[in-house]
Amino acid sequence: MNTGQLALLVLLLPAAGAIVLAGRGWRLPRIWTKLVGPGVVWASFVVTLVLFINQASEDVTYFTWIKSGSFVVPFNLLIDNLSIFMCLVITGVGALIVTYAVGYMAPENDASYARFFTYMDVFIFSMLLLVLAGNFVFLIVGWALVGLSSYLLIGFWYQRRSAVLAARKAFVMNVIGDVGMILGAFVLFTTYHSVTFAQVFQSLTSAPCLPGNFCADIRPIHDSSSLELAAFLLLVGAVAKSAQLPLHTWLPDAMEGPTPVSALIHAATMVTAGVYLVGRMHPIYDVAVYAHAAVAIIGAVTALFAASIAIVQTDIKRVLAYSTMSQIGYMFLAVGVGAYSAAFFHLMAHAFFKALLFMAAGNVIHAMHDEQDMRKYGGLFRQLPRTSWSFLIGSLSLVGVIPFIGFFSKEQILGAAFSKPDDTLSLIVWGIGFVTALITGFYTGRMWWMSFAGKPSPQRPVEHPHEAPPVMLIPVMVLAVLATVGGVIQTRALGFGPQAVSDFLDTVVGKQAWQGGIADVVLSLVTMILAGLLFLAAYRFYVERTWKAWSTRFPWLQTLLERKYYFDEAYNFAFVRPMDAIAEGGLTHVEQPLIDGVVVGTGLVTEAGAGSLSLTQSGYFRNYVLVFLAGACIAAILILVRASS
Amino acid sequence: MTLTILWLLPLIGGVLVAFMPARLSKLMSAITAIVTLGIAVGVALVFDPSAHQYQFTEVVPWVPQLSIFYRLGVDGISIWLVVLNAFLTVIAVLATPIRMKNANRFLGLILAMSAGLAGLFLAVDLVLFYVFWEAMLIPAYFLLWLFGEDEEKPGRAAIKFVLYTLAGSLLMLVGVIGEYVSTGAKTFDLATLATTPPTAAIQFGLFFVFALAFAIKTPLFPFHSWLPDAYLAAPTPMLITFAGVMGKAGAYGFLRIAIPLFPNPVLWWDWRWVMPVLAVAAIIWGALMALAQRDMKLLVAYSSVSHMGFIVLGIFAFNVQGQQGAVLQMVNHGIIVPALFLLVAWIADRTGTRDRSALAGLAPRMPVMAGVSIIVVLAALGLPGLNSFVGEFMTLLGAWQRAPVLAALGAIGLVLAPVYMLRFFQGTFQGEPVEKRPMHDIYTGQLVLLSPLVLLMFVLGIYPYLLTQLMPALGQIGLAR
Repeated sequence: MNTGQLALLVLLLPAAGAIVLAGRGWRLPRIWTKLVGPGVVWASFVVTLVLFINQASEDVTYFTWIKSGSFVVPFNLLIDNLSIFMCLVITGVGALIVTYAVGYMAPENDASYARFFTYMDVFIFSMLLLVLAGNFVFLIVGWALVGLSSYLLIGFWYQRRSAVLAARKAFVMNVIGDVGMILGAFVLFTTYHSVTFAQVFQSLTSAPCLPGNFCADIRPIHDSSSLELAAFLLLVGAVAKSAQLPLHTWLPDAMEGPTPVSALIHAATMVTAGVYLVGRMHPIYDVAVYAHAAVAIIGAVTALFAASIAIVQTDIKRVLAYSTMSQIGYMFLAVGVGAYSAAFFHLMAHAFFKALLFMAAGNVIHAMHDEQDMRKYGGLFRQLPRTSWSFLIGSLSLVGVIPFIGFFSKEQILGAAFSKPDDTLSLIVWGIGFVTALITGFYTGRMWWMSFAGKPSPQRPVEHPHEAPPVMLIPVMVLAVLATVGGVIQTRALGFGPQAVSDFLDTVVGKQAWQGGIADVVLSLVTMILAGLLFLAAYRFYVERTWKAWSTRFPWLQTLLERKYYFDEAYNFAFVRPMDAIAEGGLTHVEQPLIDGVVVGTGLVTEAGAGSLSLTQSGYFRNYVLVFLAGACIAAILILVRASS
Repeated sequence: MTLTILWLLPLIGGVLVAFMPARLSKLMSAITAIVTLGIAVGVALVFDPSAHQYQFTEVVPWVPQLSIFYRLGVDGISIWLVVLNAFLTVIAVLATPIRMKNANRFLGLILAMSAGLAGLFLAVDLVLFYVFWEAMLIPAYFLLWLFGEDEEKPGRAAIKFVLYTLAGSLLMLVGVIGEYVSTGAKTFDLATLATTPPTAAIQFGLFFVFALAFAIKTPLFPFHSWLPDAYLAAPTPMLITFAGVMGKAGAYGFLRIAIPLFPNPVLWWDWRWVMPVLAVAAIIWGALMALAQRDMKLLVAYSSVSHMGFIVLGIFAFNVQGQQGAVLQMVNHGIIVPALFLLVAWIADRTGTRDRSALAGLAPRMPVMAGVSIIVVLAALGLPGLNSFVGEFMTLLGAWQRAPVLAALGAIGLVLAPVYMLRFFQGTFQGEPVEKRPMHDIYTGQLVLLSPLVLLMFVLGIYPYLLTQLMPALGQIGLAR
């Protein structure tokens, strides 16, 4: 099979799985769901591996989707190192998560069970479409389908009102992002008269360099203002999908979904789509310097913002949710300063250790009979050794401790930001990233110590918890191994060693323009040591309680963080309630009395005279026609006179 | 002769079935509708996408003294409306229950209305267009009057609809006469008239009278207030063609008459800017009103106002993406709205209420209905991959090229659509069930009825080129190609 067919196979395998499960799944024995659901994702992973081994690189057009004047949209897939890299992460980590779900979702009845795997397969399909799409329209299609699947998965337990609301919130916020993408595509189409990546990027580089633009290398444009506009509009989509400020409020609520959903949404796939977008669009962002700076600022601010909220969360999944926002912030920071391959390395590392953390947390929740409050855990280390060790590996990776993968990926980002020459902005975002790294150490320590160390909480729902079954443990352990040794493929943060991910991606996203020095390496180690110390310090605060809790000294800060800086309240006040008020008020004060009232008013005369509504007897109908005909004749005569004069 | 059959066959069939026993009348109606659909599809298949004039034309002198001709023809935009009309007539006939009182009369009127609509889309003579425009009102009026479901004031919706529409269409008669007099071309042939526009000042006036009639029919904000009443009153099988096709007659009028015949309607102001502004207002206003509705039927009715706004916005983008997107969206909306009304009716049948806030948690009791509903709802809110996305994308792309602010404001409709549509879906199917009474899931017959609509949502979403490939073949100048 050639590259085009293989890529189509990657895409269609999960779709086929979803169709089979949606159509017949709930009437077939459960074993079919268990086989088909994860099976198609594994198969897709294998096919992606074939593409990887073949070193495929091709832009394949399958058919014309629409053609309207100069607006020609082919259905084409762009198979290059970046899309293959993304597909490997999505199908690889995705397959582990879907396999894990076989165990986690076991208590559901057959229909729900099949429905869950249908949604999972739809999600994988949508995400693959998003990264394989070779033009803006299908990027948007994939983008929106990912939003749909997250809606379906978050609202999976649809009898819970909170899940239903969370799902709708996620969907609407994502649609806001979609609209940004759509308008961004409009700008690019009107500027370059094409919607395929290949042609848009080619027009970008072939145009003459205009004065006043960033034209250091051959990177110039027709009109930087329209490119800035396009880049900002695309950024709206990226921000909504990746839960960055200010479109982030849907993500913590998305924890209403089952835990494998959280893992899938957070780790491998959905929230990293924004990073992929900026990486894929790097020819645009390299020119649109303001939008590019905005990416870095949004990333850095979100990283700090989310990490600070994570300190006070008590729900283990919510801590992880905010930590995800924070880590995605790092990736935005990286693509924002132009360290694209570092961002994608962190994307992969994060997929490993965050999926690991979510699934290990799922094992804990499973053992604790669906209790998610960390204050009611405590002392799980001896009782759940495998899960605890896995969770510790994930935690240390998140904090960024040698030799775990998170150290190499995060420190490479910080190093790149620090060492970027002649750039104050990247130095500022480095500073924010540095502080965030310390906070990360603290909240991760708090989470780990509270859950696993110390004495069992008196409120703990289960006295003697049991480890999860193998189908749930093995995927976690596979990821734990990857998080432990995966870092060796790229050790650039230490200033030496291999850099496999960057080498692989540089052909697509461009080589990082500058090299780090010894100062970054020293700073990396300093960051690691400080973050590690804060990780340990959390033990004193939350287990031994020898150090007085900081919150007693700053109660207002505690409240501010617990209310998540009042974003939900502000949005409710500024958008949700006004929208409903306008709709209700418009109906009672404008639509009914004015728009309808005027018409009914003119009709009242006749209605009053008519009495019974019989067509032939009352005669009003005839009168109406007569009046109109008379008016028509007069108007016709007037026009006649005017025309003849 | 082919095109004449397309409107004459349902008309004759309609007259005949009105006097048959119910069961036979349904059978005969179905046969008539299916044969008509077959011919319409045949015409679409033989259609030449590269021709730049009307095809399958038939010209017979009618009132030669006044140069009125019986002139029929199809081109790349009317063909799809003819096919849509024939297709939805089949669905409407099949959706009509035989148990209904006077089912034979009902079916007869449905076929007659379908005949009027077919004639309207086929007419390429201005007078003939006007005749069909008025003729289709008659069956619509009787359907609303005799079979209306508004218990409180029976017939009120019918009167309101007819008077409102008549007010517009009689003014249009003035326009027809005015056009004849002012162009001096001594013809009512639409293709010729497009080449001989009157002076800008006269265009300004004539555009107004035609556009008013079309705006009322579409309906366009702020002329939509007949719609909630009429849609609320109309029985569901009627709504399939009434909401699915008749609303498109107004939009089609803009495309066929208002734009080609009056390309420069500027005097005190420029109508070409007024219309898209009203369209954007319709998009946002319709969406807001849909948000405020508790009655699911009204919610769908107002969502229709919003969606028709996209169509008018595309038409008045004056570029090929906008106008082709508008035609595409007419077909898409014609597929989605009947499905929504059918689902609302079936839910109401089972639960006894159309109030979305009185319902909750129906999904476990009717899983298949929930599954079908989510697909239709997603299509309606413009999810990519399903049909409506393509039309909305293209109309907005067209609007963006005219003036970015139009598209940006129109996009608000895209954000509001999931809010009201998901409130409808989640409110009825999800959440904690209010009562545990078992309910029958969707019947097989209902699923069969809905499946062609759902299938088309996927087909047109995945391969819209199927429709747009014929659209450059236009019969008159003045439209973007």
